[in-house]
Amino acid sequence: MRSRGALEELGLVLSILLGVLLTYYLVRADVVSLTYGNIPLANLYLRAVPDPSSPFTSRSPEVVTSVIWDQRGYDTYFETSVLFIAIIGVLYLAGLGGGQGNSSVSTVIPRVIAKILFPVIVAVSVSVALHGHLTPGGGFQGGSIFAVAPFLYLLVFGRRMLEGKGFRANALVFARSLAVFLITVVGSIVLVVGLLTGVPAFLFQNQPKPQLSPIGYPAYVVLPWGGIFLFSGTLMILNVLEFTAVSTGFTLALVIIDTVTGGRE
Amino acid sequence: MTPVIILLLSAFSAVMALIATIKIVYERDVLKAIIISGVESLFYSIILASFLAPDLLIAYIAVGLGLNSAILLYALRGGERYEE
Amino acid sequence: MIAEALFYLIVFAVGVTIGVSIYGIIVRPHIVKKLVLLTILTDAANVMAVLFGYYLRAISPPVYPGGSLEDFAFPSSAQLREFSSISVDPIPQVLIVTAIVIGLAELIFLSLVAYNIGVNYKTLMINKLEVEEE
Repeated sequence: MRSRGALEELGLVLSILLGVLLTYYLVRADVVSLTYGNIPLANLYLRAVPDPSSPFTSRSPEVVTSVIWDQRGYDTYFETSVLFIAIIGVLYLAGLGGGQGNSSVSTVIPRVIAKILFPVIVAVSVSVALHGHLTPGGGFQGGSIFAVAPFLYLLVFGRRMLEGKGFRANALVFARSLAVFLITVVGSIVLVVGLLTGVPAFLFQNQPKPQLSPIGYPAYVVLPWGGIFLFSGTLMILNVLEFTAVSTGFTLALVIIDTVTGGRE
Repeated sequence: MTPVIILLLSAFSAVMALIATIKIVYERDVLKAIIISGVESLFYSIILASFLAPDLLIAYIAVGLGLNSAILLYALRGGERYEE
Repeated sequence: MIAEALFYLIVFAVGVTIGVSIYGIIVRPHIVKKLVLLTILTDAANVMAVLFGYYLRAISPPVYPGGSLEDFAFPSSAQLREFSSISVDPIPQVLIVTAIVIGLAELIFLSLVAYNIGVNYKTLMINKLEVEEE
């Protein structure tokens, strides 16, 4: 610990005071409160989303994912585009740096562990993404889990081995742009069909709304051997597309930051 | 009523996170600061777990514990490691 | 009573963490130190947002139980009314999931910028960056 100047001491005290004041007013304004239950909007979402008879339904038990994609589709769509642009920024910066690769090889233990962990991480991330509309999970979570696996390979084996496994930069960029484009398509299909058939429809619409718009995605498919395959309309499709977009985006960004800062060849 | 033991655990991790932040502010070695911030992510994921946010927990473990510190280490390659 | 005290202790601890990390970002000259404190600031703000949606009677996360693929039976509105009285608020969690993922993308971008600054100016200290006089 260095000796602190008086000004620094004052600064710390002021910042702690700022934190305490911020929290005090949050508590007084009942934003953070223990006694009240949910606010009406939260109750609306919780009661409407899993209930097939309500107009706001997305026929999925997982309220968080259905609010992400169905009730607040615009918000998530533009957050995905922010992610897209951030990775474009990383791509631009990649062009500037030189990056001298070193060629030291890592020892046996990390190599074996990486080989074992890679399929495990990929399996976990795909399962988290696929059941996003039924249990906690989704495209964003699955994609960020997936990004750890190629990053592990990048650290242990280096970029050339990773590209050997198919994670080439242009393939990643193509998959990412395709995924974000398909999100746009999936979001606007119902509106286009509605415009063509002269029926009222919404952008990013998932289920048919009883009074407002009769068309929409089917919520489940009855399987020939009995049982139903519930995919809650756009939720599962968008989760899979978002999984591709986030995982390829992060893999690309991690590969680039590793090569630009002189990672292992 | 959530069991008090869970609130106790998350209160402990919240206070530890605060201590870690103050330690990071006054730490000369930036590499050590990055390691401490990784540990602090663990405390925050405990809080997220105990306040019934599984969606966030899954996302935050992959991002906060895994990739945050690794990426900050890459940033540190560009310059000196000690502050002042 | 203990539960309220503990809960407000957590809220104040996270609030002071936000304050201290803002202080650290402003005062500390090392760029990567600023990035570390920035990630702490965003994580603390995310945790604070999760605390907004919590209330003492909440027991279940905002996911209606029993969501398996085969036999999912849609719940009745009475069951949902009871579910919404014990479930945590889903809205802050929705906003924070995307915030966490975008925080990582932004961090990758910022750390690449910091690396380029360090390489081009040969130092990561804000107060030592040489300014070329024209």
